Amino acid sequence: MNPRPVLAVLFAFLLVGSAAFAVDAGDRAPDPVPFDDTVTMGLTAAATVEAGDRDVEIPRAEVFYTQYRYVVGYYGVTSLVDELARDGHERQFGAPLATYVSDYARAELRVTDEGHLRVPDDPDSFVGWVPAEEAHFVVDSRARTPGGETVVPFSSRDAADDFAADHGGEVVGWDGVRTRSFDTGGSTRESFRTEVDRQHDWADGRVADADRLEDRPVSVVVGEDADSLDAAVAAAPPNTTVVVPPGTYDANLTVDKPLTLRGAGSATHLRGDANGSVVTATAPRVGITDLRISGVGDTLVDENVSTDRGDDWDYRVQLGYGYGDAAVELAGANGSLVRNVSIETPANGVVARWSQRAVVDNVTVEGSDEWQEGFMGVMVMRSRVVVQNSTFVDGRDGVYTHLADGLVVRDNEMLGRDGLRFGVHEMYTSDALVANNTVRGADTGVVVMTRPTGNLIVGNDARDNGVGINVGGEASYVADNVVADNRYGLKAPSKVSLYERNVVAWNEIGVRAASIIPTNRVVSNDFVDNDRYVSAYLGPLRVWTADGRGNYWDDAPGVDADGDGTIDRSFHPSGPVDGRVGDVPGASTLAQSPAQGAIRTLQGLVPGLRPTGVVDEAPLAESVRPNALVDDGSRDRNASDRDATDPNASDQNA
Amino acid sequence: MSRPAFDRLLAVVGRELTTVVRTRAFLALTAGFAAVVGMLAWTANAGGYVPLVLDLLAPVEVLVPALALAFGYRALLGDDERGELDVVRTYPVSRATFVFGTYLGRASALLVAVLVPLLAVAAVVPLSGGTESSFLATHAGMDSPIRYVRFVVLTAGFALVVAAVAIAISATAGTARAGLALATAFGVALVLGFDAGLVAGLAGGVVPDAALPSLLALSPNSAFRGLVLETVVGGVETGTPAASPVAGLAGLGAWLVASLAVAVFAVWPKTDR
Amino acid sequence: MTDTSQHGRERPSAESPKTRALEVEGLTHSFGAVDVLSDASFGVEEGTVAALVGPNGSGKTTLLRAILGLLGPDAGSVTLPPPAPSGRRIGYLPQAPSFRPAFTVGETLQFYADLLDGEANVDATLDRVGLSAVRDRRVDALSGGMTRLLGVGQAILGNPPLVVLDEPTGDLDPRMTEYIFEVAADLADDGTTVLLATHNLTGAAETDAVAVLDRGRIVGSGPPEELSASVDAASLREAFLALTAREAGDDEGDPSIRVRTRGGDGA
Repeated sequence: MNPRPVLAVLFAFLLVGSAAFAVDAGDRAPDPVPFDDTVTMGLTAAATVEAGDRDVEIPRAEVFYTQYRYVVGYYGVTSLVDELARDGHERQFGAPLATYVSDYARAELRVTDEGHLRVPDDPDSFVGWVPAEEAHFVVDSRARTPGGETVVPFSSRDAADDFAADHGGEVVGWDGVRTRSFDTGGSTRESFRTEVDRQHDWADGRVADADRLEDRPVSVVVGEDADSLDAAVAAAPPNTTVVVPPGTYDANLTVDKPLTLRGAGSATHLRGDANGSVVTATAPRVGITDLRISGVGDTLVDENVSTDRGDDWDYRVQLGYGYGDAAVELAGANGSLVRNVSIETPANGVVARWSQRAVVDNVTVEGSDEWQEGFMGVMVMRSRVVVQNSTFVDGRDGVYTHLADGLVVRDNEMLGRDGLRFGVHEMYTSDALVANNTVRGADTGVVVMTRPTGNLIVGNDARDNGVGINVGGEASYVADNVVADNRYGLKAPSKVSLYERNVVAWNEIGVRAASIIPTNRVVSNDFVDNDRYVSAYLGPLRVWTADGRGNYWDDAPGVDADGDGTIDRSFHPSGPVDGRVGDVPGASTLAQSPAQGAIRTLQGLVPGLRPTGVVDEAPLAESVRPNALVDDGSRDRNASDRDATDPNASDQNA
Repeated sequence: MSRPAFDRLLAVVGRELTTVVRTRAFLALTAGFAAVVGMLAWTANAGGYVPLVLDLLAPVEVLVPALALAFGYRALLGDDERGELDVVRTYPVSRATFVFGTYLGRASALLVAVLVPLLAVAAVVPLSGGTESSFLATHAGMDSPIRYVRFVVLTAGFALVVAAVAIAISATAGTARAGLALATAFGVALVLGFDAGLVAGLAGGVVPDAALPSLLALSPNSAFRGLVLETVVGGVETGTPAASPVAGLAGLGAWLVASLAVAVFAVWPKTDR
Repeated sequence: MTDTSQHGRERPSAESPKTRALEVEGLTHSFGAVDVLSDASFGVEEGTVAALVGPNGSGKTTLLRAILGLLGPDAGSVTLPPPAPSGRRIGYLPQAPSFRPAFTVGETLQFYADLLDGEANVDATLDRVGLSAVRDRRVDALSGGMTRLLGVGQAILGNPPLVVLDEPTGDLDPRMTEYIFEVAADLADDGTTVLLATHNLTGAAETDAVAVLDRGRIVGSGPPEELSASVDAASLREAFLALTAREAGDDEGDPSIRVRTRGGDGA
């Protein structure tokens, strides 16, 4: 055999191949891409929609990472800086290959009275991109975005100096910006816990305030001092109680002063004429307690409403959701209370519109059998309220919130007997606390939409739903929940959020990891007996391990030889072998093979370049909350039997 | 190397290549290696060149030495057993030419067996489709076929080194049984022994931390692994360097030269005629 | 049993100048405590066929290997002819020649030919050993005799001035055996010096010279007839038996029957 061709080819290959060590392996900085083509982070939908609606300019950044195939766009240099500093950021994305920031050197920026940036609609003004390393940043100026503090970048030092001279602040370089923190990112576990406590405290305070509405002196007793409800309300002086004795009353009542309307429990029955709301409070500090209400109109969206809020970016949402018929309508009724009221309604149970600090407590709402025909148990519109200890049966959503930042929804029960879309439905709502609620039979137990931030979803128990809990947005805290017997236990389209101590059991799919940008921290959760642990789509491989600890996967093969509490072998719950260990005989034997070990060894090294999936590099050897499901077994039976609320029916096993 | 000597070298190389091509066991081993690499690449679904390298690194570390030792350990030993070495010695061919030709022949065959599958499976990366979304801008990041080529070249180098060791074994072993035992022992040492020794040394305090990079270079597998991590994944993973590339190269080079030298001196004693 | 007269070949006359192509002097070799060669000396004249005979275990192969340089003797020297233009000095047929099985006969010889300086004619060599017909047959499909012929072909490749054949006729049928001896005689006619170790005394009797090795010593050497005559034997066979007779105390042998012993003979 003539060896010359073989030798020549091999020699040539090695020679040419060796050149691969000399050339730059694709580390060249790519050019900027249109911002719309990036995967975005930073700022809520509320802030970006508002900014778009009002032509507010938001300085942006886009980053090409060594280990992430999408270009990441940041609303706000601030959010980029915070994200770059986040623990685990580099692990998932690698190092930035190129970082560009908005260049306002030729934008002729204006700053409004509110501090908002505006780029004039002028062909000469132009916002470009400049590499962050070459940019000059104005920090601490009076410029703001709807999301808060902002940093304004310029490609020229002179333009930056001019801006700082006009609007305050100082000019720093990229390194100078990066040393700062803007508090836009996700929080630590400790600060989330503190925030949960603070929210509970706030809600306790609101409830205590509302309690005082029940201590008002009785001024009018319907039937004794007044012939009708309307007459009684008209007669009663402010800050007194109108007592409604047992009986059925035809009602279409408006309370326009701070009064408390108190019935005798379900024996006091206010009956509407199936047209419009039954009781409407238009003054602050109104109390509606101890009643039964029916005969609510079935208008979901009132076509005839017009308000003077037409300039609000969310005006159409306000009209679409905030003016449907309700048993109790709170309109500008700050500090009001709806307590011990049982409601039958084809539309809303309670509507709270521009009613800050209102409390809905121990209310029962029976909604429509088909959710498409009904509306919300409690519809919260632009109000920070407390909804607690209440029961919502059927209807569309148990609690719907729109721009209700900071509200508290706790200790409620949402039951879909015939139909229920969402137990709790947050829209454009940030910093809310949704705690210790029980949801059964809904399409989704708790759902957070429209990219808000800072939501706290803790201690809820969602079973027999299509999806247990589905949290979008950023910097949220999903903890101590039990999601069981759902089709999907958790859906996690969120970013930079913390998922911990959740018990995910007996679902068809434990978690659907759906964020294209893998920034969630998912640790110390229990995954028990799901048909599939996880499904993932979009985005690269996610590493669900932090600080050397991951999650508990009931069938994860391997042992904890060194006794550190973690199994000495990574677990790939979305993988072809590990994903089957629970249900395919032999898969766990195969999973332990050296071949599998060899494949797995380096799998977590460049997660950002790998196909979508989940890997846990330090699966926990022991369940985190071994008793969560056992305790809930007894509660589960109670929950299906009772029709009244049970304030203790929440999982306090934190 | 004078021209006639080079022709003799080619004759020896050609003889080895023919031997490998016509021996079913070698063809089966080659096919097996290709199948394993192909299956690993397929099931790993790496999605990128760098992930593919990381998925293949550990198996390659085991399979390439196995293949190299299988290809090489009987090369000179077989000639010796058949008495052909005695015959060869009556020809005007030097030990160095004969040993180096044998080595080149076996190593070339080995390289073909190793490189073809490795290069072929790189095709799964573009075929696997990469990213899922068409409406978002994507880019390759640090992932580049160039990094994969680096891995393949380093694997070739690693294969050449182990092949040299295999030739040395085939020159020193007296019998087929001894050759097999030596090859097996060396294979185990490569995959486990050297590194285990280092670990034990570190644990026992015999090996100071500072000496680790140089000592790692002494184990061909560790040197290879370090070079791959440094040149393929390097610059991606920040932090402590995986290994010193210079030490790694020196280590592998030393194994290569020393093995061939041993083979040359051991194949037959120096004679005057 | 073999009619060597058919060779029809003239022995070199006693008067012709004799050049020693191979000179072995005082070779001594031991494997551990066993003396395999003890002061063995003999020579082979250029262009002749010499047979090395001796009982099993007498040290024939060791002697040949020492001549070939495959082992270094403890003492003594071997003088060889200068190499041929091919660069080959000595051709060698091992006792059990064996080749890489996957190769054809032609390829096998071609490989060895490629190791030589200049071009060696493989086809002519195949012709000479009668293997032209099986040129493309794989080595592992050859009979034992053919393999041996291939070995002979290999041994004479490049026309080395000295060819050493270790038991070239072992387990061959008579016709093949005869053929081997013919080839050897042919070679000698062409000026090649052939040293063959054999148990075939009939064939050995037809060679130009015979050296008898017993227990590591050359106990007799010379043209077959002279050798027979020297011990009053009627045939080489009888001479062989006489020379290698085992009798108590004759370890030293009988100097009277040594035709040519080392010692003062000089070179």
